[in-house]
Amino acid sequence: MADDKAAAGAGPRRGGATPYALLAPGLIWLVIFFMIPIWYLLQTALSVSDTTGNTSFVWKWANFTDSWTNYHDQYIRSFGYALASTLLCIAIGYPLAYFIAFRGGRYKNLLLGLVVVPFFTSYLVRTLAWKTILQDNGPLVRVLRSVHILDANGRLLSTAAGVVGGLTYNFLPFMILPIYVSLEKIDPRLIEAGKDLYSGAFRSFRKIVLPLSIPGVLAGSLLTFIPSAGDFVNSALLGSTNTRMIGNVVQGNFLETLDYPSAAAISFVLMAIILVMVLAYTRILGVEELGAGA
Amino acid sequence: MNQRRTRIVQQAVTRRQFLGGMGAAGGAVIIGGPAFLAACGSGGIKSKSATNTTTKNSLTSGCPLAKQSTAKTLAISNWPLYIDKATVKDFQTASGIKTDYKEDFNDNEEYYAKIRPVLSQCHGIGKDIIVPTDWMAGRMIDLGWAAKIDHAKIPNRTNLLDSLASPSFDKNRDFTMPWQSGMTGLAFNKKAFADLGVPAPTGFKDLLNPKLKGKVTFLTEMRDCVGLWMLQEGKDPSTATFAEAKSAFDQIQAAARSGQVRRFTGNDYGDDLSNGNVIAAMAWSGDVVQLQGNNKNLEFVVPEAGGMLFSDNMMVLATSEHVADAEAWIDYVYDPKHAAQITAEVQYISPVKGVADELRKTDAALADNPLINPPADIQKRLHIFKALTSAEEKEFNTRFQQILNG
Repeated sequence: MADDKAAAGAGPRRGGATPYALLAPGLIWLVIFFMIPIWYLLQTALSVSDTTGNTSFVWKWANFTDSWTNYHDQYIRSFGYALASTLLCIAIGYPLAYFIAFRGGRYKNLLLGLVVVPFFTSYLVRTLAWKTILQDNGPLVRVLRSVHILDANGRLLSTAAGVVGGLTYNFLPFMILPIYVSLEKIDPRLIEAGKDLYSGAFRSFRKIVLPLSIPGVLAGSLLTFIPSAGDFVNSALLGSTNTRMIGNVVQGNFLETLDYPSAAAISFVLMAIILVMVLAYTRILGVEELGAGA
Repeated sequence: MNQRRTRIVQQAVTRRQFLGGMGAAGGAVIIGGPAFLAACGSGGIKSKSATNTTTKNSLTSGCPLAKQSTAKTLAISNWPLYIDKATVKDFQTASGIKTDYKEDFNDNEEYYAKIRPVLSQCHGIGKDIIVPTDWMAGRMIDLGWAAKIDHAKIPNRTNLLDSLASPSFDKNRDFTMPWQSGMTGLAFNKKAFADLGVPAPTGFKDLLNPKLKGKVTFLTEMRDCVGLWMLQEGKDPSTATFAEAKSAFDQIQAAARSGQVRRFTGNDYGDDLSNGNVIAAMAWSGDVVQLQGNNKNLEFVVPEAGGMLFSDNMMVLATSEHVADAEAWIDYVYDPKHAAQITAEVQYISPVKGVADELRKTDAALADNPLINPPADIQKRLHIFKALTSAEEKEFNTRFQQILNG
């Protein structure tokens, strides 16, 4: 304890260089790979372009308002899909993380490994595999048709359900792992104490386990929601034109119509919306909790 | 994800395609390794002094021709699965030119987006020949990125099919030579149509039958998709204005919104067709010949109202330091014997005269396949989309992107 104090006290006295030196790699990385690209992106977002992709900077603020008026359907759809897949991830991931943390016993690491192993293959390949799983003549669709969840001509591929399913699958581990971490570190004696005080299983879950695991759910939700909202792979492979997400619009504008300014403006608006949402979310649930979960 | 040959990631390749592709890619890597290094050594970026000695070769703001290198090397970018295994190797042996053949031209717009920042400064991209589709070749020629080909150095040029000799974007074929051509039309599964009790389709209007809802795909390639629909309406896409195309756009959009069209695809319609997700699709002829190998029920028709014809064209870049080597390559692949070897593998339409005769020696069925060797009455029905001005292109592309954006 005394040593800790001495060390903590020694830092500032030793002069200002060390903390900055420690900060430097991260800071340089941020400046080169985040600040500078963001600066160029902002410049592009305020430009106009011709068909061959040449842009000229003209302070065209209308790009930002246009990106909402032209593409609000796709923005809203993206956030809707991202929200649905985040909720599904919680519904699927929480019980699984709970099971691994409290019932996993000596198989804990194996079970966690099984959660992660599919993600050793590439994102694209996994999503393509889903095309096969969901195909119209595949076993899954046939079962769903025979129990009348889908009608006789119903399908999953190229529908909103297919896209949300793909998003959920692809981001599930990012929900399971943080929840697992926050559940894992709950002191079992707290639950025992609850039992000693005549609390039933459900009540001790509601009063002890759930509140202590909220930071994990919060961290997991952010890790799931943010990439889902900007995703374009799932919609491109598992969806149709009626399930287009904002990421597909950005991709199309960047690579097909060479409309760099509009693509850059959309990216900015998307970032801004997500930032506001995340701030509101963490404000409601508490910033410290997020820190505790990480 | 847009264009023709994104099949490397999107299409479950057939065994034949897979082996072919692996062989070609592998061959290119093995042969290409040292050649690539050599190409780097001789300078990917052209030196300033070179610009003084050369003249502008093209329209308005063209790039000056690069100073030529004496090292016999050649770097080619082509579409994936678009050559057989032996040709590159044979060419190297015959000519002594080290050839680096890469299958990295995956999408016209995407490739353009990648090279534009470099070529617009007239710097080399380390490639001598690239293979853009007609309209993209036109755009690049207008930008002055192409080197003029010396006709005298290509004796086999006389083997070029007459029908391809003077396209609107390159009237004299001064800058390009076709690599392969293909037809865009309608592919369908005849058994699935019979099972549904729907007569086999003869044109795209037939695909609006409510019984086919969600079992049809269209192409993301604007010129193919809109062109086919315009033909259906009795309009000619080779002279189309935006106003004339309006109703085609509107009807395609309506079909997409209602869910009649399941989705818009690149090459991956092949996937959907073979596993039964869809039973009819806008399709490219060469793909269908390959798919037929695994599924005898698939058929390809050029609609009575007309189909589209496209070519991918070899173009020598103005920044190339190996124009003579590039001309040697073009001459080599325009020998009917060598061209037939490529056709037997890729199964598109060869632009080279005499290929059918060569093919007949080894595989008569292939030589007479109307998708590889289309008879005159089908050829008459084929159209090429008009060369759009850059303002028109923006209008067309923006409108089509709206449809794709749902």
